[in-house]
Amino acid sequence: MEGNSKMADLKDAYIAALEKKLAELSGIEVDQIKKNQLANAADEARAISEMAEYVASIQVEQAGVAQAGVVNPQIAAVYSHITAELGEERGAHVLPPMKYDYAALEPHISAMIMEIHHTKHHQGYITNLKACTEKLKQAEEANDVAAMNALLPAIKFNGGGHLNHTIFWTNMAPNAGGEPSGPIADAINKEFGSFQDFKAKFSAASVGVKGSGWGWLGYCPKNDTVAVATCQNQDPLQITHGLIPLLGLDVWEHAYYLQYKNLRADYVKAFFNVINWANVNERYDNARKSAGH
Amino acid sequence: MIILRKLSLAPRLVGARIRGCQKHTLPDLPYDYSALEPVISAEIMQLHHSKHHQTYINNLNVAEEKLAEAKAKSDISTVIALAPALKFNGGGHINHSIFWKNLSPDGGEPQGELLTAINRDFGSLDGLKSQLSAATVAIQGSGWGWLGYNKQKKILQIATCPNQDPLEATTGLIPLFGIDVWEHAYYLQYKNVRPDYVNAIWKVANWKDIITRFNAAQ
Repeated sequence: MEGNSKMADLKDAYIAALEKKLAELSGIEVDQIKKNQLANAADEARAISEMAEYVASIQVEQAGVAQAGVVNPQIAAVYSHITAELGEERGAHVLPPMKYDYAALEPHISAMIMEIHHTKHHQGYITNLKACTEKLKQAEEANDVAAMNALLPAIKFNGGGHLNHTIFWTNMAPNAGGEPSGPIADAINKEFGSFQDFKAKFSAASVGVKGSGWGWLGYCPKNDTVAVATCQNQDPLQITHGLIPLLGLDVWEHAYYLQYKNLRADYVKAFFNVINWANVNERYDNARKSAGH
Repeated sequence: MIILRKLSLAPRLVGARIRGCQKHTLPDLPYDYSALEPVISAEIMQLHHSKHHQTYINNLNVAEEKLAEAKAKSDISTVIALAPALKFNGGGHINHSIFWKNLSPDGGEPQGELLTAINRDFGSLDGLKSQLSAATVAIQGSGWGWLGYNKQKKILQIATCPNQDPLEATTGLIPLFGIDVWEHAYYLQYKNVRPDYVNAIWKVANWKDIITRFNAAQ
């Protein structure tokens, strides 16, 4: 017991010393400091009790009981972006035809890569997206919100894969590349200083994606600017970062490995020889118009 | 909320010498690049080992040097900023080091206590193979499928990790057998058909090594 009171004395002395030092440093009287502390404590106590009330009010539903809860809005967003890009209604997803031969982007991207990428990988996302959409429809009919939300990762992955690759094919063309002109060139210069600076930033970001993902040039509707961003896996740019996709670069290994092996940087460099700036300008123009600019 | 001003502390004199880091080096492959054919081609093994794994090691060494500098300067912000690079490259080094040993041209079959555990936790060896294969094929993007050992519950468990996230640091499971499904691990040979690669890799699973790891984890 004696030990305790000595501890308590020491503690009080310590606190008093701290308060004195604090008063010196802050110029606020010790008494006022104490009053502030109490007021803050009262605020904190009120905040804590409000939080406790809120938590108590949360109804934990029984697992497995279908109920009219909240469907994650990202599900609808994925499909609506696909419709906006391709004109396809939900469920009616098909592989968009390539506007140029598989060999047309050689030597920058090989024909074998283009063919496998289009007919196997992109098609794979579409096949799986249709399967997800079937399951989604069943879950909707059963009013099973939990099941619907459980499908979100698969919808984002496969829907994102379908959307991203659709954009990607249009972002490239034979006899293209080089430096842009027109409105996108102005936007790039304004945002990045110069095309070379943009190229460096976009390339670094794309090379630096850890694992599978995409490098993007996107449009920010709020600020009416362009920006470089990256996404993991097939995460769609607009849902993830709020940017409208203008120019995408697939840096999944399947996009380059057969030709460039581990040398992603060489592939990224080569990409700049096939960029279809006319398409990028078109996307930029549409994006600005929808944003009301 | 009152912010307590830090009473000035005399800067701790950390030893001026930066701890001489042992740089990480590429472990030798226990077999020739072509030893795992036809399951995994020599070309893949060579690129995978001498380029991909080597790159993780190079970048890990760089990150650790930067870490040592930052710690010496008490630059906590930089220490924190280095965490993703350490996880990615350190994980890449750990994972691939395990992987080369997990594979062998004549790895035998599971037996003894490991086989008992497999039958107990998965029903049968086929049960393990089909569950781990399914989980691994289903990984979205880059990552690894793992057979791991849960030391607390004393059971075998399957887990998957994205990118190069290391199994033990991420989940606490002890890694026994890993399947790399980054596309670089199979693309040159199997192209987009990841399931064919995953099904085939069981033919070169090094059960001797897996048993060793299992025993060490007990």
